[in-house]
Amino acid sequence: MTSYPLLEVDGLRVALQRRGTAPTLLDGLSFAVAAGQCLGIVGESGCGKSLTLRATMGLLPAGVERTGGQIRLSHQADAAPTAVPAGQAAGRGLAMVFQDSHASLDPTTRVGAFVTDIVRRRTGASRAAARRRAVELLAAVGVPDPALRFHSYPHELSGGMRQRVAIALALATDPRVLLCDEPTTALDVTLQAEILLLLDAARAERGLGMVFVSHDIAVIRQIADVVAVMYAGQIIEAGPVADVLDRPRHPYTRALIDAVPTLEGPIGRFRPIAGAPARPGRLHPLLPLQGSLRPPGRGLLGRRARHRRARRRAPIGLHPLLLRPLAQRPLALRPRAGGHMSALIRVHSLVVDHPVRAGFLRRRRLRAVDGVDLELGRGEILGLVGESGCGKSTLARAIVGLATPTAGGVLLDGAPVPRRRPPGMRRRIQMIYQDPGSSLDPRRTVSQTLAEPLRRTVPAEKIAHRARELLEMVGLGERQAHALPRELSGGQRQRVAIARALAVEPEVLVADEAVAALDASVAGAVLNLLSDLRERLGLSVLFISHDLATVRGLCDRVAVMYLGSIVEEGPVARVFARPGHPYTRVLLDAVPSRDRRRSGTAGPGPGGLGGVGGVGRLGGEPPSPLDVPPGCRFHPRCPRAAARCGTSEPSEERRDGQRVWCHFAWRHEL
Amino acid sequence: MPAGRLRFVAGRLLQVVPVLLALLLIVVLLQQLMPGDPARVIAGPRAGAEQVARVRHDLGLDQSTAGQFWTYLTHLSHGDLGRSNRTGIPISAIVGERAAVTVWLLAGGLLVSTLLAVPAALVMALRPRSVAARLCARSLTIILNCPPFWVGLMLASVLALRTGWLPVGGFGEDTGDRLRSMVLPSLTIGLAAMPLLARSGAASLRQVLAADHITTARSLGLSGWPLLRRHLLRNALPPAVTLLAVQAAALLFGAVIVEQTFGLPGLGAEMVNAASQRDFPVVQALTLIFGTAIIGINLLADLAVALLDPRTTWR
Repeated sequence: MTSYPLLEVDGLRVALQRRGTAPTLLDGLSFAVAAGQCLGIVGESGCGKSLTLRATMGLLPAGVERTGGQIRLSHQADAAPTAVPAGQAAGRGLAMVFQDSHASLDPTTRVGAFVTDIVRRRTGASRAAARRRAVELLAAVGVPDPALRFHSYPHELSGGMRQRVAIALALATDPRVLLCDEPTTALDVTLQAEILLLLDAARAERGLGMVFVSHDIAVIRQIADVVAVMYAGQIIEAGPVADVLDRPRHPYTRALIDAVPTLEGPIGRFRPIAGAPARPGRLHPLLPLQGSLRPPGRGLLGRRARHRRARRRAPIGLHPLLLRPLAQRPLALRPRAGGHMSALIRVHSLVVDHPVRAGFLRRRRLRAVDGVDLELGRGEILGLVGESGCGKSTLARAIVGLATPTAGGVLLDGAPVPRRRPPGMRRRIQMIYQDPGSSLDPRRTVSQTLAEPLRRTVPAEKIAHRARELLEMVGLGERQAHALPRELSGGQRQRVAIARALAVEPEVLVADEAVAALDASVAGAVLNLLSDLRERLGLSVLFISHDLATVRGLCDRVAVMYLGSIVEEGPVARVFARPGHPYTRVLLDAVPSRDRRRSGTAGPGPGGLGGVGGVGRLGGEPPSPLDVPPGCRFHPRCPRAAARCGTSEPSEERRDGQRVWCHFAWRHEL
Repeated sequence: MPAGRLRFVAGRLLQVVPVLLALLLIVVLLQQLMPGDPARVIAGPRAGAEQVARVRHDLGLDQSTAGQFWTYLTHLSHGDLGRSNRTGIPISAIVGERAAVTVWLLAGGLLVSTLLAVPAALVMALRPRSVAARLCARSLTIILNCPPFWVGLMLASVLALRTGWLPVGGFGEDTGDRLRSMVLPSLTIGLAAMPLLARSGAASLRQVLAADHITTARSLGLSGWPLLRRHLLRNALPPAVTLLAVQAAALLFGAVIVEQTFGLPGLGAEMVNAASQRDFPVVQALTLIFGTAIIGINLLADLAVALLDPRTTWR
């Protein structure tokens, strides 16, 4: 063990390039990483964590420059780190893995050729030797058939596979320290577990130093040894993971941890952080004021500042109007069992096909939804979970009327929904999309956006009043009414999207990954809002999410989807406590825990990461819906699969309102 | 070749068929749309009604449109484009003689515009704040606002008349003379096409430069020429190639003017002569040739884009 760290960052300062007083983005950041050690950096969006990695690499985006600090890198074991000039460490000791593997790999370069090129550049090996080394690297990161995949272009690979290739590229530079920028955020939980495992193994085998940036405390908990919490361009708390995450000293760290929903403990309201996160370029010393974490304004001693401080004492996340009835609302009132509620929406044997091109003139049908039966009760929140590509969004689109069913259909209030819905029927089911940044017109103010749907039903002179009411209902005020979407935070934008959906007084909201783009600290407030709206307006909500902990905290019932069909469905508390289907079990096990490190057996790394209790890990990725396996469609990946799973389709098994389609329902824990 | 790309190539080739047929139909209909009676023009002012009718019959103008279309197609398949009204020379012979001039002119123009546009685009995209980049941007604006015929005249008066190195017009006898007589026309055409190409190239480069995968390549230690060649150019080229093909029509139109200005015996000059003298068969044939050339150039560009971008697929 060397006594020197591999990487030392000392007093790193980064600012916008501007004449006069340039806004500071990173304010004197210092950290060090030793061989085989993983430093986790956690914080909300915009706190500067990704920028820290970019600055360390010397790859700052245009318009941003390093204004101070030193980066020192040790190139040999047992040598003190030496200062590296900006931009000289990338590919020469430092390598980086990015979040979005779709955008971060050159679409015109075959993956094998790319890895080979990097190997040759680094080692000067002959073409043949470099090719061999590249195939080895691809195999080492878990690319199946590396010799075959060698010739693939990135767009021909799945998301998980692309991220493996990105890791192989980084390892091809033979780095001392690997910088990871949210490498698993875009992936499903099952893949996330695999990629974390792979990174941890690489670190252990190669004695890499690692800096792992994530907004997800649970992921940091699993992979990091040391953690630094960032806020507004500064590290506000740092230390060993167990110390910082179990006994946080800074109130912000505490709030950040509490905001993350978990699979353990009692189900209660989400606990978002009040106030808006500090904007980049507007950094202030962090002064927690009465539990609120807004940085104080410039004129701290002025009257306006005092006034603002006083206002800040009220939790800003929710409007007082909404808050009042909630405080008295007993939790038990939530309708938890699905069966005896009157069904508002009934989906029966729904099939949705997408035509795809298979050969030159041959067309095939991709069965995105394959015979789904589902009910959504009045005033109920139903969660729909599953891996990407399992058909949950298509199912939602079919319910809203954006996708045409091939067979089966949707009953609304007992009446069949015709293929071409009359406007009055469309009004009753509204949708909220994942990215409010692109689902809102960037050139319309909030009030204009809200006026649009109101124009049909509300007399002109009452539109403004009604728009104000809607804004109030979602916890926004007069100030936001005249703002453009880009002037709002992500959470506020999603509130506007919800207000727009509510404008036509729908009975059902379909939320497709509605909080997936938001930080947990912000998402919680939006989720609480959805829950309150259900309470106040008697709305039914179909909540589609890949985040199981969120579903547990919000929903009454949950349906688990796999490859176009529902494999398990039932009340949240039961499904999460006693999953009947092995797939549900595996999904639950793949979720990293906020509060404890998984101590399993599968991980070779020192952390013993990725160990999964119960049944074990999923092998590989879901098969293509063009190629559905016979029998139980989950059997090729199922840890519990037996001979008959491959031949006969499992029938429904019921227990306490829980429905499971598995030959070994509830018997997979054996 | 990936299946998607193969499908694109096949689909794109098939798509040419209806477009070509439509072009042929327009060319045939052109005869009917033209002002005046072509038979009357050919027969001459002093011909009697009977004579005009005979000419009309000889030309096939008394047939139905479908019949005319079929006759034109069968003649075309034998390489027969008809004969000039004025001289009676087969049009195929005229084209054979004059096509080379226009092809060389366009090739020269393309060469000039590429040689000027690529460095300008690179400078503007890679060193946006440099003096050179600003100079490029300003000069592009100026060039863009100069009409080609004026540029041609200016080049002729400055480079040819003052120095006497280059001919002011005409097409020389031997190869050396001919090459020299191509220089000024090529420059004129190239300068006309260059600004848009340079600007779109710079925009496309800037977009790729900001892409995440370039950051990835940089994080792997790539920089300079390898980064440019492997990851930047290949991603930035497709939009520029497409634009160049779209500009082909403008280039051909430019050739008509430039050939007139410099007295080059090309297809463009012939087009102007034929049109002014109501030589309909020639106008018809040249329209067909120009149209086919534009279709062909666009086809080539799309195939080149498919070759550059592996994600290409037939929708």
